[in-house]
Amino acid sequence: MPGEKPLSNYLGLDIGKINTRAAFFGVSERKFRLQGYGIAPTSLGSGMHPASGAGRAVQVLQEKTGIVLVKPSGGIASTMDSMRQNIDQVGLVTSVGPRLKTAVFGLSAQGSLNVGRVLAESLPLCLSGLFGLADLGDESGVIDALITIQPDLLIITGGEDGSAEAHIIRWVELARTLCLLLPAPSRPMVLYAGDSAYHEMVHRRLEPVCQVLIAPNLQPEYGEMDLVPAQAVLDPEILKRWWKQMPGLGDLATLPNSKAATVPFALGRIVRYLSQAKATHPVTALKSGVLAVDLGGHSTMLLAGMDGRAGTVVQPCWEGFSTSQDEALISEVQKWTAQPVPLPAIQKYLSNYVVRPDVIPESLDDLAILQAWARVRMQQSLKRLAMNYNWLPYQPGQGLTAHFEPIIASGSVLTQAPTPGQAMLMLLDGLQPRNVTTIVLDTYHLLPQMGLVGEIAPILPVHVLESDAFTNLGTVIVAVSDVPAGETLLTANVKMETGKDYAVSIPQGTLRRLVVPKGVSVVLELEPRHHTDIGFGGPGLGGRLKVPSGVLGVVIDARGRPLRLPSDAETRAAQLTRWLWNLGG
Amino acid sequence: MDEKMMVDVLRRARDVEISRECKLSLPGEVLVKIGDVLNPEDVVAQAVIPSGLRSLNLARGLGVDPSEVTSFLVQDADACLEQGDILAQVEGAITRLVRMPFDGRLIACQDGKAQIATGNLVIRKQAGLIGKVEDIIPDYGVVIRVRGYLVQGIWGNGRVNCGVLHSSLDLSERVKDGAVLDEIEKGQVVVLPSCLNLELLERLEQKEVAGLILGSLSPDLIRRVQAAPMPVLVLQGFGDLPADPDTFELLSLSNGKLCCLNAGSTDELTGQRPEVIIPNEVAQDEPAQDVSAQEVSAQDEPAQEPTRIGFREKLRVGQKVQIHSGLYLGRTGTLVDLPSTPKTFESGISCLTAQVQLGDEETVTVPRQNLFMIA
Repeated sequence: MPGEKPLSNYLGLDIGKINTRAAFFGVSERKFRLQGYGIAPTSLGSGMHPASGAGRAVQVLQEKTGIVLVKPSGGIASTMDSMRQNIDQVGLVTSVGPRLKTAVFGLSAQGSLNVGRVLAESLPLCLSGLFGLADLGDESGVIDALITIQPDLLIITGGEDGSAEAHIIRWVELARTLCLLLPAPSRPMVLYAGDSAYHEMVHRRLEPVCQVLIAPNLQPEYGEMDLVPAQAVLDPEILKRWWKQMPGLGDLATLPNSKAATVPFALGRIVRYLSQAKATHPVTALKSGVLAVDLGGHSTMLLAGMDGRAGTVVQPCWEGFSTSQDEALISEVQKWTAQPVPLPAIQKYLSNYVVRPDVIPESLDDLAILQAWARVRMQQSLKRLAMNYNWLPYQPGQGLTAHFEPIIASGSVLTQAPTPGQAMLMLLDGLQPRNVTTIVLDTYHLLPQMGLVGEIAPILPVHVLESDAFTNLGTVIVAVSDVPAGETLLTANVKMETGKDYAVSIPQGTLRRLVVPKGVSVVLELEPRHHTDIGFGGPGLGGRLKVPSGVLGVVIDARGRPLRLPSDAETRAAQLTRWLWNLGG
Repeated sequence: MDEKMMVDVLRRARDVEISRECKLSLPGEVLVKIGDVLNPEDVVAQAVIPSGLRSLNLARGLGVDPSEVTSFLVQDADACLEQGDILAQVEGAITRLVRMPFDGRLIACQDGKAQIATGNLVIRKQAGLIGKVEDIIPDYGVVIRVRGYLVQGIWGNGRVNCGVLHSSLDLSERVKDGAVLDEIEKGQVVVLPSCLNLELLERLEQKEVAGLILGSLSPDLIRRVQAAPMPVLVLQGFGDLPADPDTFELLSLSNGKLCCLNAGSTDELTGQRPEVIIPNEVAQDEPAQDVSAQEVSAQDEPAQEPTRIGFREKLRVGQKVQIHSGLYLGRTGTLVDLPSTPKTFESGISCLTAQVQLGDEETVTVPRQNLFMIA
């Protein structure tokens, strides 16, 4: 706004269930840069104040950088005062609260009910009931079910805009009846995101009995889904519920210079922004997207953006655990375990892991199980994301079938992997990307902050994303061909700045790493053979590619899609280990 | 300050002050008062909500258009009505009226139909503890204060119950030959070092035990235990783990006493963990004291608040700990050193470690992060 002081610094707080992170951004050489970072255990539990965990994270930041933002020995009140005075803007992203119990009222299973479910899965909501047209035949049954569920949130959706679908009125009346039956403090809030023709009626009938939120139709026309406005309406309400349950967290969020969002909402915003910024691939002119994955201790978040659209799926880890007794899931984890670990050992490790997802694996076997579980989590979330968003180019078993760049990954299993090769291999196996992409590690979990601050200072994420605050793990070239294993499918001529050029032949079925010295960029001349597709516009097409230095340089993945693993456990583990060695161990 | 020294805490202690909230999920009426001494089965609060919903077609009964019905209602919304009360009436040469065919509460009237809430579903909240009412949570419940043994575990199956504790140190051996089952009685809360096979679990269910406290549980049985009718608390972990002698000794001291087993899940927000409470006897005349301030962790405001053990605490040499990883999973010992330099483990991960002296004098090195503090 005119006359407003421009933002000169920003403190991002990220309160997770296990850790609280503080990241300080300031201006250096006329660009926003990450100037300090600190991490401390989240202070939760009865009587604990989340601000004390945040304060400790800031203290760690101060000790590391010498930047003084809060008094070194101050209490909570002093910390809050300092934040108010010394920091232009405080951003709070969090995933710490409980998921709100949610029921969806809609019409058809494939239409509005599905869209309501997808909305619920894109935010920290726990879908507890889906009620469609068929359920309207037994309204008392629906009421009974809802009294049992005691939802925090009711989503009413359905009907294309202007369709004046009469069943919507019945759902609104049923929501009203439920509210009248329940004591006022136990009534759910209602989000209406259906046919816009009923907005006035919804206000009139429901506002006297409960909190009403109105959002544009989730599905204004059949087959067209737009969740963003509803997410924007719901996210602050989710936070308000969390503030009530954790008043200390609310104190942080209500600092006059603060903004807040849930992690999935903030991530969704930045992924959408990035996808808008690069709708087509600069080399191939193909439509390209952006992918972000966050393997947290308690949940997996996977987000894809393409053409300005973004899809989010939040899957609690323990959903997988609840079925971990299923042999199929354990077998799937075993399939990706780079050690010959028996099924019972995997089952035992995962059962104990769920109790304490912050535990550090000590042995090779434990590490192999954890990393295999990470691959399976990504595969499951990708499948779910594709199920929820039909625009996502994905084939079961084959992974992503379009170009996504960059792929930004976070979560300690990735960012604290003993070697960068392990992180890279987990991501390649979990997501099975195609074409040419860049894998970026978000070691400090900054991406949600970028989504939050982008609204206030759009230039900050631009500067930070191009800085070294994010780790470029490497450039990946995926070569897909039908040629037999061992046959050369690609030749890469590597042009070094130093003039020491060389050529590499890539056989089918291999994973190869080309080292790019730090601070140097190389040019690759890629010559695919036998109609091999490397994402340069079609099978057999090649070209030149300038590659910046990354931690691992260039990785050429010619293992094929879908990835095929030997059926014998020993051979399979050896294969995974070989691939890992090819990436530097 | 080394923040990595903060670890999760499991309370395992005798003769400690314990305060627990006991409340309804929806507002109702609190039935007890501060100072009342409670038994587990005592109802501390109850809420009443309608048990059913019935629809009355007033338009048809009155012979009017559905859109006109609301103007003929003679009762206000939310009115509690008895059978025979007039609900709606059309005055005229021939007065037409609709009476309530049953007792109920008028909820809404839409499209010519009245929605009537009928019956009462009473939701009661039992104390679940022996203790004294320390505070009232208006409309919802109470805070119960008790002094006694507190033993927390790492996992529970979500159920709650009370019973007489059946625990003895030699159960570990005798459970293998099945003889121990003969002495277990209906309604007891049974302490066992482990449950590794379905047969044992089923036999205990047949005995109608009130609850199970296990050192370890086979991962194969997790789903089965989740569906079990009685609460099951796991103290050490999943797998075939050696029983922790200290905890079992602690529990055996209370053999034959009434205990309250809450095998709910761990909740970081409230600091709740699955636990068993074995109360001391509660004296009727003992005054209730305000111990709410004890809920504040020493880390947060050390200068002002009394020491209270929080959900997470800072590791200290000499502290008892339980290991939650690797070869020593579930083992307890004493923290003897916190080396300042990180160690690289076989996995390749480098981290700060703790040296733990196990009961058999063996000293092992584990990641600090993989410990529970026992306090």
